[in-house]
Amino acid sequence: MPVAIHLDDILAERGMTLTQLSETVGITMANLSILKTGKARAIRFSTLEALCEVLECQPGDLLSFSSR
Amino acid sequence: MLLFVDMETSLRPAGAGIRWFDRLLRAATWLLALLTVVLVPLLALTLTERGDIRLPVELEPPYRIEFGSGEAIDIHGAGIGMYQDFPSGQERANLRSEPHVVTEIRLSRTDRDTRAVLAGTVVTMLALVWVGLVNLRRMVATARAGEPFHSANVRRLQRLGAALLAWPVVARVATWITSATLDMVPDASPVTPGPAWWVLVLLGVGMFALAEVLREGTALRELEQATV
Repeated sequence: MPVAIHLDDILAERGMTLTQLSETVGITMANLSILKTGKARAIRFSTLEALCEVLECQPGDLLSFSSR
Repeated sequence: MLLFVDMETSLRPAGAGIRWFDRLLRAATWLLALLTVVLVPLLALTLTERGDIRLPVELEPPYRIEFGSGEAIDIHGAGIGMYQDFPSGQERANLRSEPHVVTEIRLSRTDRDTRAVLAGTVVTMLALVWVGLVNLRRMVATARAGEPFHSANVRRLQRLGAALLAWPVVARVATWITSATLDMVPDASPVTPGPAWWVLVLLGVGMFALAEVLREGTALRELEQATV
């Protein structure tokens, strides 16, 4: 997929696990897993906002684009 | 029996409407099964000389209709705007359309080919009803399980539409074949299916349209499920 999610990298930098993130953000583990593995086809602004707030980052830190 | 069960259990209880239809279709399935069991020996009888079959037929021209007054009209079968001959010489009436004489005949016991066509037609139409009912029940089952927007339901709706479309086609073909096989004096042909049959064609096409609507819904559902 051209848009990549760098959730693993940011979680590692923050020393946070996916489970902790799920409990803090209020997004289910299933959805976070879909996001992390690149299977998501769309992300809501509300989800992006919640992730950026908890992870204290910018959307551009979480997402990157590379054309193939 | 006849349930589509490889779905995850829905977290939302099924609504009253879909539960009611599920029960209704279960009852319909039992009734149809009973009818099928009853029909099998009856169909076997139709193929034997013992079966008494009555068939609605239309008399084929030319023929004469004689009235109690002594007047008569001759039907020649040449179309609208026809003629009527009054042997008494009175004023000619002018019917704007040709009369159709429809009656019921008892099928000859030795007319085995017509009996076979009729039996085959009944079996085919019964099979079409089963196809429609089974696919409808499976769609309702998926809705009851909380997953109505499923690609399998698109195919089921298309099969239901095909069954509805096939019904008048089968009736027409059976009428056409029986017209040729019927041993009948005077000349008569089975009553052709009327315009009401073609409502089934409209319904069948409608089912195909609904299948495309469901396909779009399924695609949106898949997108929604993959949206975080």
